[in-house]
Amino acid sequence: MVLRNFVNTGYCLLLICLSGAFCSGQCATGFSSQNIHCAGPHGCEDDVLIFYPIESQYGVRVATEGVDCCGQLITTSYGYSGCQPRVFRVAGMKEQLAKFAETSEVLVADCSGRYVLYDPNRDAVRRNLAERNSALVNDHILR
Amino acid sequence: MNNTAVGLLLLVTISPSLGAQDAHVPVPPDSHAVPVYTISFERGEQIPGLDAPAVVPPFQCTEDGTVFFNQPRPPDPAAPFAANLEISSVSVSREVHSFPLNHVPDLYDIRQKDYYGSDSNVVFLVKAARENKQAMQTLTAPDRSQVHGSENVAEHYSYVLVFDREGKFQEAVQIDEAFQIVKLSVFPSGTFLAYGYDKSDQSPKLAMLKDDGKLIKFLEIPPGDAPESALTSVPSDKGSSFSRIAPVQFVPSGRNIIVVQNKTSFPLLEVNEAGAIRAIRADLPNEAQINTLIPSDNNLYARVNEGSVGTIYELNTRDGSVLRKFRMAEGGTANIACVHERKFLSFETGQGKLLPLFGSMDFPAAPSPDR
Repeated sequence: MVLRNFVNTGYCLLLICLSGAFCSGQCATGFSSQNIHCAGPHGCEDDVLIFYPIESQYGVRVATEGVDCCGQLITTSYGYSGCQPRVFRVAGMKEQLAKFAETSEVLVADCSGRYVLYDPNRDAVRRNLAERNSALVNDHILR
Repeated sequence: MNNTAVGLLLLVTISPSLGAQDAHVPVPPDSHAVPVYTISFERGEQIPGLDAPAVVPPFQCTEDGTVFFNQPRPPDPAAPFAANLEISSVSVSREVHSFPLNHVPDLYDIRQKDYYGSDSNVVFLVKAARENKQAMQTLTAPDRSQVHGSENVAEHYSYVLVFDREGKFQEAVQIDEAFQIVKLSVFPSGTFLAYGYDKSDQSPKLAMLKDDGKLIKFLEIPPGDAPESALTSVPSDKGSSFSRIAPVQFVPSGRNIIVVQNKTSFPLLEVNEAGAIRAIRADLPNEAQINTLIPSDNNLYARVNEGSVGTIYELNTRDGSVLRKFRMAEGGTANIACVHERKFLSFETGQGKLLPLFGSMDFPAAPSPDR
């Protein structure tokens, strides 16, 4: 979680996967693999093993990278720690976040690493920075 | 199993009647009516000393019940454009071993293509270079943008890296590249069985290699028992030229190895140490296809794509006939690791840790109407 315009909260840089509303379709219970053959310039031929997430409501936070195959980057994924919707079940956590959100823009990471604005009103929680005419950022940029 | 759980690997215990063709479990003579069992699970204690955010099925399992699994990791800064994978194993006694590929002497930029755990060692099929020759490269991203970065541009060759079962590196064997090898396994004698395709016509190939990496012979796949091409083009509107390689799984079966042509109607191919191939045609209902074969020390356990977590059919190794059918209980897992001494072994990952789950099998319900 990242707080903009808010200092010394004690929660800065804590990445949290917020409940299923965020995780749906973006988390993974695991990964599947696939061998890919590529043909590139200068007669290059190669195979690479890539991984892609198996989606589910909850799961592992997914990041994507590119692997080189004959000069072309092919998207592959990996997981880093788990989504922890239970974090938001900690007594007082939601209340404290709601209080922060009254005076600050509170960003929480979803399971794909994108940051979205935390809003105590769950109907508004899906709004993200893109909808507010900002560049969509991800945790790779914010870390 | 709890839906909020993350990732999966289960260690499932099935009731004593699970064993293949047990005398005390009647198998109906009518092959069109097989007993249906339900498997349910309960969670065991966390496996200590292992960080496992996500594992990649299918798992591998050796005869002693040790489960091997692959984990994609964040990129290594030294090789930012290569997949960074890590293999770990967990034994029945909860002993954990890892198999790091980045400390192999005299090889650089080691890229894992496949691995196989046997009773005596663990072998990896890799591409690697003999020197570290870094140079700036321009790569094309999926959106056609250009990315610049340093890579090892030295010539890469195919190797088999051999580790002992405790994760200690033993030797690197350079192998003949008579064809494009994508999968590797090893017989108890030390002879390698490799799957790949011919670069010229893309036809699938099975071959045996000596323990020094030299080609012994190509194996004769019976006509019609494998696709004509191992590659399927990936449609792209961005000018890329990629193909999917038909997924194949190697599963040990006694001293033999079974080649599973996943998610196809092609038969299982049982290969013995002499290189003879025997096709096993699974007698599955409704033209169901085998997603994966669950490693087992007795008979074959085929997971097919029925329902949200699938169905498992126990097949007779001799003729592929269905002996039993298993369904997962509500909330069950799709990722059973193996069947060992009448137990189903698997795990679940939660909050980055590995949790064994123990399951049991209900008594059979009415015979399946689809059989």
